[in-house]
Amino acid sequence: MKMIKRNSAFLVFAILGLLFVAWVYLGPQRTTFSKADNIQKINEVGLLGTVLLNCADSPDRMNCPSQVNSQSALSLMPKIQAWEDDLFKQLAPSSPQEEAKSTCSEYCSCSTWARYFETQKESWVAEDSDLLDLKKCPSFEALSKEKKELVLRLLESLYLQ
Amino acid sequence: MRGLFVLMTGLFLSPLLIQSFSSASLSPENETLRPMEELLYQRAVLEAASDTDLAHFDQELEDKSFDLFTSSSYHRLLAQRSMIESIEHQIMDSQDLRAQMELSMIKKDWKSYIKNSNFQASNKQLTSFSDQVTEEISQIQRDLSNHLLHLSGGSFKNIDGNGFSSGRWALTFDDGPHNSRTLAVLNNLKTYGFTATFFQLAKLAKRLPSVTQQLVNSGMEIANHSYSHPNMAKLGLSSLETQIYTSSDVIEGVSKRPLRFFRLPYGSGQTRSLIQNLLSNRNLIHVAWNVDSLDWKDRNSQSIFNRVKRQMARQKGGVILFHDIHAQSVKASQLLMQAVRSGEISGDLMSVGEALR
Repeated sequence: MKMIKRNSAFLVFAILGLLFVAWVYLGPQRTTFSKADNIQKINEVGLLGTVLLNCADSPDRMNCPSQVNSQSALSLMPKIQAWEDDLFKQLAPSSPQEEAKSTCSEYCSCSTWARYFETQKESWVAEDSDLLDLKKCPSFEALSKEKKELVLRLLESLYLQ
Repeated sequence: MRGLFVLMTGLFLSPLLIQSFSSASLSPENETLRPMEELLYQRAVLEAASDTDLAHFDQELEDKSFDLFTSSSYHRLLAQRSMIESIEHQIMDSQDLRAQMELSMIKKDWKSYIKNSNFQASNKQLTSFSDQVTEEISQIQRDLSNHLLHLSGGSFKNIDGNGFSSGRWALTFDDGPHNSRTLAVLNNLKTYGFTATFFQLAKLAKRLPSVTQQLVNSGMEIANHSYSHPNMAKLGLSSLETQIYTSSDVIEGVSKRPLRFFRLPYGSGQTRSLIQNLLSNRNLIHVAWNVDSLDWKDRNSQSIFNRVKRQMARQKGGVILFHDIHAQSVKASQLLMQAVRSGEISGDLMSVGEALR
């Protein structure tokens, strides 16, 4: 009887040990992936927001993807804000200052990052810099082919939200 | 001998445990494929069912004794809509772009999707789905009997400013109070002699009651912008009650004024009947907007002001949306007050309550 108890205890201990090892080795990888993924998504949604904002400000549709005009772009902006806020909640309380700084100008998402760090009550390295001036971002037509495709894909998702 | 059996059983089970652990949380790609297919299939089935129920509902409407709240097709439609929303949120929250595209296809043409789908629902899946539908319908019926039936006299009121007479502009600020920026806006309002409506978050009003009280003492209007700014289109009944009822209690407690107006965060959920009924039950009027400064996105106060001015020029009156938590909003709204006071922009800025008088 003693032997059974001892073996059972050993077995439970062994299983818990294996689970712990799996968690230690594999758990953190998943977390890291999720954070990187969120940073990338914030950049992308930031880009879409900038494209739509520039479109909303241009009465002639010159800066707009073909699916939207200035009025519809304006009406989509609250959805962008909600989407960004969702992503902020998923990323918080991380403080990826370096990652954001090195990628935001490429995606014209520095103003989005400024807002994220504002919600985290943190100062942001790019504050008051030219990076925050959305007027300096390229128009939709001037974006690279990949970026245009990305914007159109995100726009499709936004319509479904 | 029994010890050996236990040990062998354990050794047999442990790889399975590890495997299920790994597949559930560590390598989700293969495992999420099936649930996503199942979700898409359910979404298509719900679309088909809602088409049928809508046809029934239209037939029922012909009957003189028709009652919305006891109509079974209406209950089913509400349940379907709620489930459709839930499924769509799951799909949109996933990183699965293929599934998102397929969802788009289902919305356009569910018949083709079902015809071409390779997904075969198992009996277990069908039973589980059927149970979910039944439970959702029961939940809707419970909600209706608890919260909606007695509201047949009430009605949802929404203002977006489009009906305002010429030159009447309601100036509104969301998401505060903020310990410095709200007070900077208040200072500007006093300087230029305007009033405004502040749609506040209850959790912040509770934290900064003195800011809210200063606004009230200076003749500003306080309104409700929920408890914590969630996307209310996605919330269930009890969370909605917190966001509407509890927040109203908190803000009324801090401001010592009865609330008349509510604005949904992101303006999201305005068409949800549950939200509409909760608002009308509390005698709250929803206030949307027809001029959006987009000051949360743009950091340049001059370009925010230009955007507001351009939108105002297209309309005769309305509701202007700013946020009193950003530095650029303080400056941009000051530029607007300056322009209206100097006559550069015709009309007057006021609170929502004043604009409705």
